[in-house]
Order: sequence, then structure tokens, then C-alpha cells
Amino acid sequence: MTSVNIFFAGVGGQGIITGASLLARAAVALGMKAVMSEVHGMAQRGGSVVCELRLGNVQSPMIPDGQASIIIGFEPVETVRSLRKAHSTTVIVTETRPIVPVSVSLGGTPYPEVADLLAYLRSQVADVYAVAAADIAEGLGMPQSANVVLLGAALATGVLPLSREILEQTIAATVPAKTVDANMRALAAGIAGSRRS
Amino acid sequence: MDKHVIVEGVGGSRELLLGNEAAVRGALEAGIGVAASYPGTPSSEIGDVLSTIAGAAGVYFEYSANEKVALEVAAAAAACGVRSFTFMKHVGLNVAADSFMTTAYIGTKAGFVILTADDPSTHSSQNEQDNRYYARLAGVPLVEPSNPQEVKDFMVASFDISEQLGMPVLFRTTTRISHMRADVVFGDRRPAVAKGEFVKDAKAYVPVPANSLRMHVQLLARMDEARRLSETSGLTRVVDIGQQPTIGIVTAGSAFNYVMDALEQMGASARILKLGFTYPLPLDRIREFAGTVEQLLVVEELEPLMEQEIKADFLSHRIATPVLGKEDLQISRAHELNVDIVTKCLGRHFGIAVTDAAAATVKAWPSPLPLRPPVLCAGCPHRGTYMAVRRAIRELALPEPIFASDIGCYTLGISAPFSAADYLLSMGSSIGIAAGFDVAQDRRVFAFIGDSTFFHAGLSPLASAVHNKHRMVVTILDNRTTAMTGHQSNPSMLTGAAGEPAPAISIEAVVKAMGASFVRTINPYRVEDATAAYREAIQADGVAIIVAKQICSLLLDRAKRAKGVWQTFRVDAERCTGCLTCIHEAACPAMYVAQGHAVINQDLCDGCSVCSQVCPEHVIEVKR
Ligand code: SF4
Ligand code: SF4
Repeated sequence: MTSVNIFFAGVGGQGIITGASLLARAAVALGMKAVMSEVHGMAQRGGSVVCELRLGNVQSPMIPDGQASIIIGFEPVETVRSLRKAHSTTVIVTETRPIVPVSVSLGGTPYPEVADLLAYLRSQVADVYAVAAADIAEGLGMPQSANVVLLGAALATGVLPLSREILEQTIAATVPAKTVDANMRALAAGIAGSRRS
Repeated sequence: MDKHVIVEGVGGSRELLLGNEAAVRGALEAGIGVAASYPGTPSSEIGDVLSTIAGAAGVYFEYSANEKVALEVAAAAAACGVRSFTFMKHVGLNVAADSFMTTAYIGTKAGFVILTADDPSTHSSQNEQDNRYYARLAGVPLVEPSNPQEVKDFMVASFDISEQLGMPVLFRTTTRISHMRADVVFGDRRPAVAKGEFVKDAKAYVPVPANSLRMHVQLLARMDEARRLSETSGLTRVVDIGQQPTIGIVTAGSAFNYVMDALEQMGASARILKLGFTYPLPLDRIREFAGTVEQLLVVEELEPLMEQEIKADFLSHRIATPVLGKEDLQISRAHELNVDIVTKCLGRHFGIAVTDAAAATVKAWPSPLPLRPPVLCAGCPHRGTYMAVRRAIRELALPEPIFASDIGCYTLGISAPFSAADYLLSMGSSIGIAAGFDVAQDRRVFAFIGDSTFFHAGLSPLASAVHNKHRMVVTILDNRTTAMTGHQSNPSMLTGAAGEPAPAISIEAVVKAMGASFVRTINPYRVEDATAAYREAIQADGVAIIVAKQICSLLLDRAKRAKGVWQTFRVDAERCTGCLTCIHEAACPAMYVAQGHAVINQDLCDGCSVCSQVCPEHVIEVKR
């Protein structure tokens, strides 16, 4: 199939829909066809959340198993959970900072070591970009912009059919005026901090 | 995106819209004057947009107390000649069903569209009922779009169909359509007309038996006419995929998208009859379509409704073309479809081996991953309420009570350690259920119901419980909003749909007037006081009411950010003994355990303080 399939995974409240919408808008601005599937409602209350975006000539926004071009994971366990969407050439960009679910503290399944999760991702696909997006965003004094840092890191992989310019224009046109600068810095930091590991 | 684009966008412009946003644009293009709703996922964003832009669009919009009221508001407005729109989640139509069934008899003067947003796979619901049955039960036309552009276009068409037939049209989306975002090209807007005139005609509007007998006959005649419209409707079309297809596929809604993507993946050919006007089915057209192919597959989500009607029709018309549906293709009647399922089922039938790309190369994490179900937010006031309930039960050594729950964020009290949801049916069901448990067994009974849910369907059960002398502790979790669906207004609030001032109805005054034996308002952020109130309520006779009043923390957060006051709590690791009382009582998602101590994630902590109130060592403190 000729579409670029972008799978987002994370935890409700992490700004996943906002991040995905920015990519969708940028793609439409370039004349591409974009379809996206969002999650609203109960699942947003701190649960696992996914968002799927497909660019190209497809009807359904939902990505078939094994067909993600790129997975953008906002939380290490959620990235690993989304592996069913990956094949060996899928590029994975993942936040490294865990959000430990409360079930773990109450005696549920333990949270794996982040290093083990990353090693496992590397054993399954060729390209893994592990990014400390939350740390970077905090360093910029804008902890809420971790999602844009991750977009920057994803852009730098070269998998997204988007240019930095169009993404910057889209961000400038979409986010509140007073946060444009901070978001631009977050994007730049994400691009700079994107490293295959 | 600025929601005003949906009003201001001119014909020919394009915008990346959610299906629900496209529904609003369609209704505006159709020139609606009145809209009413009760919020419910997956339909909620329709109201979020309308409440913001109704004023600018010249449309009257309200959040009614429940879906039945909303439907009644829209039905009466349509009788005045004003195009009217009501929308709800699938189970909302159950609430509205009493009036809905009769709107089919009475019909409508101006266009009247009822949108039902179904939720296959119960992403945010208690069941996955297939509301296509309602079109058949009531006898109203049904329209089903497949993407945001069609949502917009079909909405405009539905108002025309409604007016042409003089009857309401049921417009069905599913979660995957309501929450699909894609490019939508706008059409021109017809000016909104918000006022009309009601011409009295009791014979047409009052279904006393003499009238309703005649109305039923008229309804059947209108449905015959609807069938004729469906036969030639532009909402239904044929799509040819590949070379010389010999297999025909009848499909609609989301299933159409999956069929298209599955055929593309398999590189297979097929002729698709994509239905948009889905009830009454255009059976002549389907028979004619079947004549152009060797076999007919029916691919539909949930129930085999189209399949059964087509099979019956082919049988009576002695059509030889085989029709294959759910059982033949092994498509489940449960849960939503997706491209993978449809590819597998069609692949099996076409004899095309579909390789599972993922299974071939990538393996899942070899052991179970920690689960992450939705939980009460950090800072959620419901946490303090449930903590107090559990404490009071423990302190009184009460045998484990029975908890009747209701629909809202507080249903998440089902999780440990609160485990405060034992039985749940529908909106407002908690109090009636508690009454049943009160008579049929001996343990103490609790009911939990939110402020919005209380006004939606909790008033009559409460009257019934008091009048029938039941004993129960009812908690009305009043977080000053309709939180789960995105913070819409409700009758206990000082503001209406668009944030304008509105008379607030006091929950305390209402329950006192209804004769509750004990009424106490608590602040759930004060765990000890709240616990004391529950101890008293548990010992009271009759219907004891606790109103747990504290604004939803998500709303409070906005106010705190605006004011620049924000505090978080931290655990003094030196003095923490690692007893984990805090986590075991509060189970806050901001807390976790590291090196045997409780730790508070500073990104997530909301500063509500309830964990600090239960720490026996008093080592959880405001972070300085
Ligand atoms: S309750 Fe207090 S002492 Fe016990 S684990 Fe929590 S913070 Fe530490
Ligand atoms: S104060 Fe305690 S209970 Fe409240 S949000 Fe912070 S960690 Fe959670």
C-alpha cells in the first residue's frame, strides 16, 4: 500500500491528539490526503491511548497490524505494547521516561526496566530512536511541549513525508500565539536530540 | 483549530474535520435553527462545537437534562417549521425512545434529524447495541456515512429527505466515523431560521387512539415512499475495484472503508454497492446489482440486518445469486470490524493468502506488560469520596456492603482499592438498583450517582426509593460539571451550554424536598470530615444522602494555572517507613513505589492533599 502510516501510543493526557493533528494538518497543507483516528471519552482518563494517522490513498484511518511506517511512543511500555503494528523496517521513536501505572504499585504486573524495553525494541526493528523528550522539554522550561519534542525527533528520522518548514508553519498557525516560540524551540530540540540508538 | 471556522468557512473551502465537527457543518449548511442534546461519547464533540458557535450561527442550542428532553425540544421546534437537530450516543436513544417512537407517527413539518452515535467495541459505553434496529422498530429512514465528508454531505441530504417525507430521519455514525478526522470540502450555508409558527392541528399532533390508528397507516405509506427515495438515492453508489469483478459486496458505514482497504491490500477485484441511505433498503437496486455479479457478499458491522433482509428478498423473488454474510464469511456479530478482520475474512473467501506482516517478523514482548486501564485522575475529588466510604465501613466494621454504581467518571471507582461498583445498568440506574438490593438481601446498600446523571435520570428513582421506604446511602458526586464527556453544563450549574448565566438547581434542596432522611454535604478533599459524615449516614434510616461537592480537578487546574497558584506534594524519603498506606488507600496515578518508599511524580501530582491526610507518619508534605 502506498500510504505512510503513523501510529501514536501513550497515556491519556500526554498531548497525543494535538501532536498527531499537527502532522495531519502539515500533510494536508502539502496537498496529501490524511485520515486520522482519535480517542475521546473514558480512555483519556490516564489509560493507554493510541492515535492513528495515515497519509495517502486509504479509506480507513486504522493501521493494519504490522503496517506502521513509524511508531511514535510517548511512554516506553506503551511503545512496546504497540509492537503489533510494527514490522522489521518500522522506525520507532520513543520517549524514555516511564509513567508507572498505579496498578503496578498495587501489586499488579511489575514495570519492566526501561533499558530492557529499549533493548527489546532494538531486537525487533532496525531503527529505534530513544529520546528523553520530557527531560528536554523541562530543560526548555516548557514541560507540556514534550509532544512537540517527539514530533521533532520523528521528523528527523526522515520517515515522515514532511519538511521542517511546513511543520513549523503548521505549528505557528495552530498553537496559541504566546507559545509559538517555545514550541519552535521544542521542535528544534527534538530534531537535534534525535539519535538512533 | 478555531471552531468558528465551522460557521465562517465559505462554500468550497476545506478543513480537516472530525466526523462530529463535520456533522455540525452539515447541520449548519442545512439551515438548522434549533439543536438540543445530552452529551455522550462518541457524540459529545458535536455539542462542544455547537455550544461554542451557536450564537454566531444564529442557532438555538441547549444541553437538555437528558436525551428524551432533547429529542422533544427538537421535535416541537420542527413542528413549528424550524429545521431541528438532536444528537446522542446510542444508549441515549434508549432514553429518548418513548418519544422517538411516536415522532415516527406524528411526523414532522420541517427537517428533523436524530443522530445516533453507536459504539461498537464499547470504547466508552456499557453495551454495543446496533441502533439500526431503531429505524426498523420505529419506522424511520436511516442514513449512514463512512467518513467526515459524507457526514457533512449526508447531513444536508438527510434534512431534505426528512422534509420531503414529512418524517424524522435517523442518522447513524459509529465511534470510528465520529472520531475520524479528514479533509472536508464545505458547501454553502442555507441561512438559519430559528423561529417558525405552530399551526394547531390536534388530529396531526395528538396521538389519542382515534388519531394514532390512522397515523400508523400513514406512517406505513410514508415508509413506502421512503423506500422509493432509497432506490434512487444519490447517497448510495457503485464502486468498481480492479478488473472485471465477479464478486459483489454490499456494505455501508465503517465496513465500507475496511472493505476498500482490504481489497487494495489483497489486490483483489470486486464490485461494491456502497449504501448511504440504508433503511429502507433499496431492494430493487440490490437485486439489479446482484444480476451483474456471480455472488453477493454482505459485509456489515454488528448485526446481520442487511444480510437477512436481502436473503429474504432474494428468496421471495427467486433470485439465484448466492448471498453470503456473517456466518458464511465468519464475520463476528460482536465488536467492531477493522481492516485486519475484513482482510482475513475476504481473503479466505477469495482464496488469497494474506501474510501477517507483523507475526512474520516482529514478536510481542514475551511476558505480560503492566496494564493501564483508565483511572481516576490525580487530584480527582471522587478519590477522597471513595477513601472516606472505605474508611467509614472499616471503622464501623460493617459487613462488605453492596455498591450500585452509575455512569460517569466515578464508575472508575470499580478499581481496587475502592472496589465500589458491584452492579450497573444505565444512566440513573444506581438508585433503583439499590432499592432492589435493599429488599432482596440484608447487607447495607450504597448508590453512587453524579450531578449530571442525577438530573438526567436520578430524580424519579429517588422519589420512588423514599416513597417505598427503602434504606440506602446515596452519594451524589457533585463535581459541578458533566466531566466524563468533556465538561458540559447541567442543571446544577450556574451556567448554560455556552457559559451564559443560568439558574442553578440546588441538589440539597431537591433531595430534602423529596424527603431524604439525612442530607449532608461534604468536601471530599477533607478525608476525616467526610469519613465522619459517612459513619452517620450509614447509621441513618431511610434514604441518606451525601452530596460530595468539589469541582472536577481538571477544571480546577485551569483556574489554578490561570491564577498561577500550583502546589504539589512530595514524600520525605528519609522519614517514609514504606508502609504504603498512601498508595493502598488513595491509589493515585501520581504515586509509585521506588526502593521501598512511596514517591510522587511531580509532573502528575495535582496537590489535592488526600494522600498526605492518610499517611500515618505525616511525611507527605507540600513541596517547597
Ligand atoms: S503512607 Fe507515608 S510512610 Fe507510608 S509509604 Fe506512604 S509516605 Fe511512606
Ligand atoms: S496530593 Fe497526593 S493524592 Fe493528590 S494528586 Fe498529589 S499525589 Fe495524588
